[in-house]
Amino acid sequence: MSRANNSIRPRRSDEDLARMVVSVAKATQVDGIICITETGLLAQYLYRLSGHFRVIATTTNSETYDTLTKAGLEVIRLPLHTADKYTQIRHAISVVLQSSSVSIGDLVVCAIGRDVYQEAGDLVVLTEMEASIEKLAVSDLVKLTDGIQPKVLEAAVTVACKISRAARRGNRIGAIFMLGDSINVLDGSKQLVPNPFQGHDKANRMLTNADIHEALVELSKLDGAFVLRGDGFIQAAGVFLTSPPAETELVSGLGTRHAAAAAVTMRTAATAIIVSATDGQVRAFSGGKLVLQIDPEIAHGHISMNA
Amino acid sequence: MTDQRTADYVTNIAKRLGAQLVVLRILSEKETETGGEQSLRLFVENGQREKVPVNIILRRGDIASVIIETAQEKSVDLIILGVSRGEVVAEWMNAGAMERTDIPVLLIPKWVRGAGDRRRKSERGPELNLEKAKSPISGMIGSGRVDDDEQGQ
Repeated sequence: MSRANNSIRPRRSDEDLARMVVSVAKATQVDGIICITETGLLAQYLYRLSGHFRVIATTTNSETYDTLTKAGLEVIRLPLHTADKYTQIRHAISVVLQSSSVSIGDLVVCAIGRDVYQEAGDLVVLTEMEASIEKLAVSDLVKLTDGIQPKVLEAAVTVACKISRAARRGNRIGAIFMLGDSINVLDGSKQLVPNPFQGHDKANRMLTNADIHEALVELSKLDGAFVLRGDGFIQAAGVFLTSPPAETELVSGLGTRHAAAAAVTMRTAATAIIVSATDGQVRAFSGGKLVLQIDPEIAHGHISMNA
Repeated sequence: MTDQRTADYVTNIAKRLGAQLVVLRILSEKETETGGEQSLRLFVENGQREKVPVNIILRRGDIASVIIETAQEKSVDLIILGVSRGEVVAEWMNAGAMERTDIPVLLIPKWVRGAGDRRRKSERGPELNLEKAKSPISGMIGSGRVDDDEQGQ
């Protein structure tokens, strides 16, 4: 029943959310409950409250994955952390479907824990498993700017993950790919070394040409960023990005490479794909905000582990 | 116009949750209040038949703001958003709605329906492979009283 208009609603907890999710699951007779959690709390509450309902926990956090697995829960690692709750739920559903833990046509309720994003509101999605969601690509999860073609974003992420994995084999390297709005990105930036792509024919300057990916991994050892057009044409490598200081939403612990790239995405319509030399994670920034974080150690779609 | 399947679906969820249903329709500029009420009559009829209290509300304005304001005004426990079109979710997200309210939101894509008849997959036969719903659930608010006795085992 509706309560008095002036009632003060206490802040909800993961336990409150779990109770609500189980109630919806009972009311709609779902085939399973999927949850996204960072600390594992929501998964544990659901497991405790759900009775005969199957609970599948998903997490980007390796420690939480281990803890929940040891506790006997069904857990799947998520390779991506996206910009918002809805996109993350779509990603989780896609990964669960790929893992064959559920089948096309299953009705599931999917909830996201309060520890994953800062927003107060809880989001729960009740949906049937559809074939179309099984192969969600990275470009389906990020809003593309300035005519950046989906295949170019996919290629940039693929190469970034290759660089990260190469780094883990002993080379401590990072990289920045600036996609789109290349004229404005280059405006005011400095060429640190002679542009290694100068004079090459177009085919060997296209990011979508897989034959040059190994060369890009090698070139990432140079200081500076790769600057590309939205169609994947590599304008330059070894570019020192300059931008006035800007109020970007940087995650604490990220260094100057991320700060510089995030600031450029504030003043231009470019999207930055950054490989961290510190933690090996691949992050995407757009409009000064972190819109995607990828763990290259977990296979996802085209991001093969054999690279 | 809301179709019967949509109205049945939401009414059944409310009934099983033991909840009162607040149905919100956000009118377009050209839409009249009479037309808006008419489009929701199925909820009133369903509510009477299933003994689920139904409160119909017609408002104008921007989707996210009107839903949040109405939900807070009516102290609802659960906002049910039918997503027939991607832009409803996009508008919700772009409006920063997740930061403006901590009332939980249940998104139900248009292709999910038949909750009242739905049994778990292991219990239901192929005849329950229902065809897709033809019209959206738009901006509905369920005042879900999520009972303690509904929870836990």
